[in-house]
Amino acid sequence: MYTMLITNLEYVPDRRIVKHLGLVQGSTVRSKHAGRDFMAGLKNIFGGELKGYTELLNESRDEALNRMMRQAHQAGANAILNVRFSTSSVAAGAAEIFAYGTAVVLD
Amino acid sequence: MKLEAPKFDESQNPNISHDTSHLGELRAMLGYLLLTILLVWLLVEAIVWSLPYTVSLQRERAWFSFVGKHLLADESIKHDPNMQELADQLAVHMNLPANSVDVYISDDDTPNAFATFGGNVVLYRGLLNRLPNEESVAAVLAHEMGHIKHRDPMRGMTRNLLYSVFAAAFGSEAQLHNLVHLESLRYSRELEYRADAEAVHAVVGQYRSAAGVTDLFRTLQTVEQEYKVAAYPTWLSTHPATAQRIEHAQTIATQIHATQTPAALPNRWQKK
Repeated sequence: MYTMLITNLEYVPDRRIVKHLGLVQGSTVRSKHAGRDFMAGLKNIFGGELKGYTELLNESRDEALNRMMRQAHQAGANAILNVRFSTSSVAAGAAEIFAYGTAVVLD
Repeated sequence: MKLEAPKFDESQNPNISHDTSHLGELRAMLGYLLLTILLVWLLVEAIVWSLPYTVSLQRERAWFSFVGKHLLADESIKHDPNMQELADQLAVHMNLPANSVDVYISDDDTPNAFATFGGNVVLYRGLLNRLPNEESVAAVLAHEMGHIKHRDPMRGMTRNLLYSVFAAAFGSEAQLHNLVHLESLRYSRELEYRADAEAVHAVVGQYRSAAGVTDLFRTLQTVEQEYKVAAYPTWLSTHPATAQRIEHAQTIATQIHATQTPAALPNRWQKK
């Protein structure tokens, strides 16, 4: 794991940005297995939380964040500012989770 | 603030898989797929295999007693005491317990016969009228009773249902469902051969000659010509080709040293 400050803010109060390193991003495209899809299909009949898919997207966000941090680490950053998440549907039953932000060095 | 735009090393990009060999992944997934198919197959076949033991024919008959009532509700379908007597005689040669089968005759002109749930057999006048002798009537009756003995209506339906459910769980891919359909056809042909074998044993047991079975298939061949049945490839049919069924029946007849003495008894069910 990387010790790194991740924030939605454009500036961190009381810290000075020493170096701006540009955009860093992390992305992953995932799907669940057929068993989970089958359960979700049943849930569609009776209603309720699609726990399998909640879990899937949660894992995907973690992975996307992780990859973004790895890229920032490679660039020598110690913080990522203005972090955003975005998603897009790639194929039926598969979603991309995309995280991006600005890698910086704070003093 | 110092502005820097470092060029990221693409070979280090954490967002892209750097595992250049996809073969390992493919092999693993094919392995999982094969394992899943094997497990599903074992599960379904085990359930279908155990069905006759978990649900006895007598219990099936109790559950599906409404089928007989439903059939009789149709005015063109009647119980026939003579045919029932023949069925009871054949049952002895087939090791079927007494009171396992109910036989009905439909006045419909369709040359057909079928066995369904609860040990019910329906023979159509359209087929009975075409059969040349009692032996061939016994052959078609014994064939349908063979289905009852092997519990084919229940096993066939359960098997198709289970495979369809599993196919549905794996998505709505048409190819998968086509495969399941082809497999159910293959299974159906297997059941037909087994029912044919029962028919040969029963007819030989009753009349000391396998000629009735051969006469039945000859009649089926003329019916096929008459109705100009499109020559479907065997793998798309529920029944094997009649020529192959003749061959199969004759092989069994030879194995049990049956004669082919021509059938002599008149067909009592023929209505001109």
